[in-house]
Amino acid sequence: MAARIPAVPPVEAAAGRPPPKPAPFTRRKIRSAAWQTALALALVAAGYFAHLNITRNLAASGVAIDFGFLTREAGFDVSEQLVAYTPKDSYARVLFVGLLNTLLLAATTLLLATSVGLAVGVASTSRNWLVRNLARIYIELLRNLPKLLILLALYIAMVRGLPLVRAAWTLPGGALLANRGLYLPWPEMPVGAGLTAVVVGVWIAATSVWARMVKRHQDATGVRRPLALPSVLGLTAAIGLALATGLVELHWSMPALTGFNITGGAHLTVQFTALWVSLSIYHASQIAEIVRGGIVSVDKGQREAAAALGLRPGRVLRLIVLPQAIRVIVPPLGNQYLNLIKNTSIALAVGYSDLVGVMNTAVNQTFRPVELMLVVMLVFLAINLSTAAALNWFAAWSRPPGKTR
Amino acid sequence: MTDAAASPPSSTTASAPRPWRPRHVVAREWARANLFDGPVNTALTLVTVAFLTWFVPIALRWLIVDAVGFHGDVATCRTAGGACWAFLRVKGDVILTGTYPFDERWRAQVAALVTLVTVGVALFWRGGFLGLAALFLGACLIDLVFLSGGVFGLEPIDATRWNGLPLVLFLSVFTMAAALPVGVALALARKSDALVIRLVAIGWIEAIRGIPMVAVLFAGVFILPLLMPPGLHLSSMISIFVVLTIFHAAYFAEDVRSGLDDFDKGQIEAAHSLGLGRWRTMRLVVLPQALRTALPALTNSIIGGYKDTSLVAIVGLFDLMATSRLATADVEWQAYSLEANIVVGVFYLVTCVAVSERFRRLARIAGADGDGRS
Repeated sequence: MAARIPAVPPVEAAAGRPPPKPAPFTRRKIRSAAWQTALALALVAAGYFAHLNITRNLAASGVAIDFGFLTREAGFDVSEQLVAYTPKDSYARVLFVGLLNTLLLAATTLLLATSVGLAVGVASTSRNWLVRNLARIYIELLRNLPKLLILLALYIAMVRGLPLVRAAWTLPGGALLANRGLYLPWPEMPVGAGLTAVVVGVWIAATSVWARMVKRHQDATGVRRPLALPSVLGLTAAIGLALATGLVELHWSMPALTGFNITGGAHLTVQFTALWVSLSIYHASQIAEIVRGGIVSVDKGQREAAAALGLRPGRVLRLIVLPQAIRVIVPPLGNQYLNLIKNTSIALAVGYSDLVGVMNTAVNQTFRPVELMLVVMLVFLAINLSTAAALNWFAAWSRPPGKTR
Repeated sequence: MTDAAASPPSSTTASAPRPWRPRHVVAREWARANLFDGPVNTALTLVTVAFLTWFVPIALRWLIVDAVGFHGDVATCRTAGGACWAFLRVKGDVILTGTYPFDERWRAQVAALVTLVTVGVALFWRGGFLGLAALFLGACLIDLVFLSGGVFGLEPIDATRWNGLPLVLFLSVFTMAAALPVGVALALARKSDALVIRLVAIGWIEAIRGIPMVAVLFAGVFILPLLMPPGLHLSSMISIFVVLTIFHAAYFAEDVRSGLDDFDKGQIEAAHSLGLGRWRTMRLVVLPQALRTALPALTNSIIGGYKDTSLVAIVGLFDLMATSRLATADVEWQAYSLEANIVVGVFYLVTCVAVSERFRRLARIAGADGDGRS
């Protein structure tokens, strides 16, 4: 537990003379080495003891640590799956299904939570008294409630309060909501999916090239050319052309009641919808607070200076405030994203088959907690590391050139 | 009137006295500056007002006007269009203490009260660290005596029946109290020169922070008992207590480390030149300042940890949400889970706001700035 404190205050070397070399064997170093050796030995001993206990305890229930069971038939069903799965498939397969469910929930929640959080965060700094205070109430209320409470309240309300499929509510846009879940209209593209991907790729490349040209032109002459308008117009024109010539066919699959069931569209189960919405509004409150902190951190003088230079309010926000706020926002936002991904594991409370939920069922069936916990830990470690790497990359990218931090 | 929008409305009490104006004029100017400042703001105001005029009457009607009061009965609840607060009179005990034996409920209630009072005293504590530690240890022992019994003629009660509020408070308060010193030690270990010590600290902190709390709780239920020598039975209450302490310690360690990172090394040199040894420098100079800097981050972790203690419901312990479900499992009262959720939510809201406000004030007194949560 030694802190990094020099035992002897460093003395500035006298001019001309080389600083004295630290002695190889001071008393402190020897003591530290002894402590470390003792700790290492204790750890090894504890590890050995733990291993011994685990093997003896497992042997008492007739199992040994062995990952071979992963290829055996799982025999249990899951609430929903993104890839084909039947109970006859292996444990490895069902864990993969759980992982995909976790990733789907995390990705969709990330999107919704970020959009709502950004909107509420900006609203909480609004000049409008009503909007500002409503946003504050939202933030304070949601931040001080347990996420499990929000989830369960919403889930029970949905299961009890929503109508049967026969009498499903029709939402604006043609979505249907019933006690079996949410049915969304879904675009289908029977012809030209590949072409669409190419068009979108070209559009992204063209927009980034144009953004660079705009910036160079602005740096050289001080005149800012429009960026968003030509980009959006270009994409609209390309899509319109593709649809008009019939190279791409797009139509919406609308959910509709046929017999006793709803067919068409995309079906989100009640469990998924409750998780998605409750985790999103919970994390949106945290993200809103981060966004608010970032916006507040930008010096008021910056806005005033921008306004004095004749920039309109929208541009002040977009060109002056947000670029500076984003540097304050990104590090805590990254933490929040990591929390969000981990928090998807409360899915178990409503029976959505995420990775941890599948693991729980598998442990109860096979009594192989050590192997399964290891798998889950490694998977989460991998998810965390890749998310953190992506966030670091984004933080480096959002930094202005020439600033290291 | 023309300068109304330009001057901030709240500064009317400032040094330069404004001429007296009728109240409706002031109100109109305030509204113009805060609600109808430009077309975008006016539109926002109108949309918000429309939403509020739709939502507030519905909420009020459900909560108060059409609701059945505390002394109503289930028959009136059936026909009423609003909330059924009579549910709380009948099922309040179940929500508070769950399956704790009915005649011994007072013991669970006393335990919950002791924990609450302990937190209250700790938040206004002016004594030293050892006294605080003694306070928490004493309160923990008193709680255990009341909850488990078996001494002083109290009937012994199994840990699986410690439910609801006493359980949530016991687990959250005492695991975090135990985790704080461990977290400080971990933070120091992470900054240690000694490689082995540093690696152990990094391994602990990063492994725990990398996996979800639900998985940590499962590790407590599944793995921890396997680590014990054969024949030694570990109840899930003890397992959960241990893993929660390990869990919170990792998060506290990162908060304390943020305080240590900001610490000025010159102060350590100054302390050494005054003749203070390593441990006294640590205790008297480094830690007080580092903890002060870390206070906002610690507040965050403490509030988060308190809220997340509810996740023990997932591994089969009965927190307030599980007892709420127990209360609505009764067919007669099945329809009133929202009422239970609202009461539990209000409890969390009040306690979280109280604790975080107190911590924010402490941080202000201590001179550390920051809004408290990042």
